[in-house]
Amino acid sequence: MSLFPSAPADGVFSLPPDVAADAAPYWEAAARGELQLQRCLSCQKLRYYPRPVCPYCGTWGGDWERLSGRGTIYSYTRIRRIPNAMAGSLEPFVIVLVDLDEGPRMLTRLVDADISDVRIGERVQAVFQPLGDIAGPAIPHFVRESPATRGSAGQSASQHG
Amino acid sequence: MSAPLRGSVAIVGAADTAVGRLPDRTPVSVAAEASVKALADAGLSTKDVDALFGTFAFGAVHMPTAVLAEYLGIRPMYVDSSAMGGSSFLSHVGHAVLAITAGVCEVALIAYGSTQLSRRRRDPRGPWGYDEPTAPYEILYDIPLPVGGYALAAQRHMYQYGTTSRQLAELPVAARKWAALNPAAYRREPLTIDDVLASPLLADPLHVLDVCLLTDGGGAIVLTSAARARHLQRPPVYVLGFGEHQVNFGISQMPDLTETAAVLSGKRAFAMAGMTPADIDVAELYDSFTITVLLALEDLGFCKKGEGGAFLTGQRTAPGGPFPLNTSGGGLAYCHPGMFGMFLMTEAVQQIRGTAGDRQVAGVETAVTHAVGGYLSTHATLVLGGESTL
Repeated sequence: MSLFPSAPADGVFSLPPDVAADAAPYWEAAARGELQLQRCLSCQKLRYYPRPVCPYCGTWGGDWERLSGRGTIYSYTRIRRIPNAMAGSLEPFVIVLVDLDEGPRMLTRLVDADISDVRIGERVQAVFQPLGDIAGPAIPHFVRESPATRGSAGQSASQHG
Repeated sequence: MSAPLRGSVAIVGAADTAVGRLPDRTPVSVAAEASVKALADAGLSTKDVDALFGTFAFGAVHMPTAVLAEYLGIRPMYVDSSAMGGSSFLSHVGHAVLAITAGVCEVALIAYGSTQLSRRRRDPRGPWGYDEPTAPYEILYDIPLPVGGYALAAQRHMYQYGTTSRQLAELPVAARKWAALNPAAYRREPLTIDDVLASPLLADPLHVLDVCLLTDGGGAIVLTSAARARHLQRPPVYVLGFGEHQVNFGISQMPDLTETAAVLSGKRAFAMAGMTPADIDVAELYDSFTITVLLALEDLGFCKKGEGGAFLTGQRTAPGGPFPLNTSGGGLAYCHPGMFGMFLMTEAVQQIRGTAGDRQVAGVETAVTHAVGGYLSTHATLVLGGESTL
């Protein structure tokens, strides 16, 4: 069950054109399996969520930049029930706030096969897949960093704390 | 700068409607009923009102003050429909103080009504809909809001400071004890801490009983200048200080989930009042979720950052305890018609007047009210006091 207002009747998810256009490179990158955010032309800060104005200095515009897709869990919550919803039971899922190695914090879902023991501070990496069981383009999700990729991420972790 | 504002305006009328289920009513009619009751409490009528403040939850009414003014037959010269969710009405008080002090209006009515329970309608397209720019980045992942946002804050607070679910559970237990003394309260049966911990988890670490009620109800307050207030029938409750502040809207935009904009709204309100938390007799703090209260206690300075859990331990906020908190039963046990800020103020008025019945705290001269809207987003603080505090 999706709470998303446009949870599609036809079973295929797509963003409304005006919403998608506001941050087209973000969504297009995600569909390709990349995480991209904007860096301010003036103050040079990366920002999440995508928008055409810098929330740190007010400058209009920004350069899109590919990120590593790696980060650290800042907080999480395991969603077990939807308050006031018709559905009583729900397959639990985990919402995480991830501090990306490059700075910004984003809200996303942790989609590891085993989500029973999530801990703040765990290293995670982006994966790109459609939303839940809804058909549509890939969007960013995260999983715990795998041993195979930990080597390169370790460097990034030591650089960015 | 702020000295002339302190005590320049007073609350002279306050009332709640019945709460719980109000079938066959509309949000506007409930707000209007509260308005008429609050004006009667003040010994005034709609004819005296020249400024109207209010908003409705979840976009129930597109032009709130325009609709309510017509419904009540008020022709206001100053209006404010600012919509900040739960904190709106406390912000409106600050704005009303400025308008009255500036001389652009004299009698301000602030009103609210909701029938969200009876109508079973909190339109998911409303506040969480597409045109909020965070929607494609937060709601996209099905985070249930607002509870999911508060759960993220609670989890982080537990991680940083060792706060426990058992400590948070002190709040609903104490709230039910206050509600047992309030005949109007919606949930008056006693609770134990173990009951709270045994209630189903909604969004870790928040249980069903960490979450406020969902009811219908309305409330209103009337404000005027201190000079006029002294000639009215109720003892004036003076606005000694106010402050509002916002850092984020979406929960992903909050830089530190353990510290809220209450730090600044509280600092401003206390500075204007010339008081500190130690001067406060009763606290009415927004309790949409247990974590909301804990963060406000810390950020307003009632205890140090990270010590909120210890502060709550041992039912210190219950009737007879050293820190009377949410004396109506609050949003956890009295009522919660979508936006609770109004009811923090109507209760503070009763406590300062000494008319709170069985739940009256002895010798109340000062109260702090603090409300929160959105996802720990909008914050507004008032310091209120009786005649002795001027």
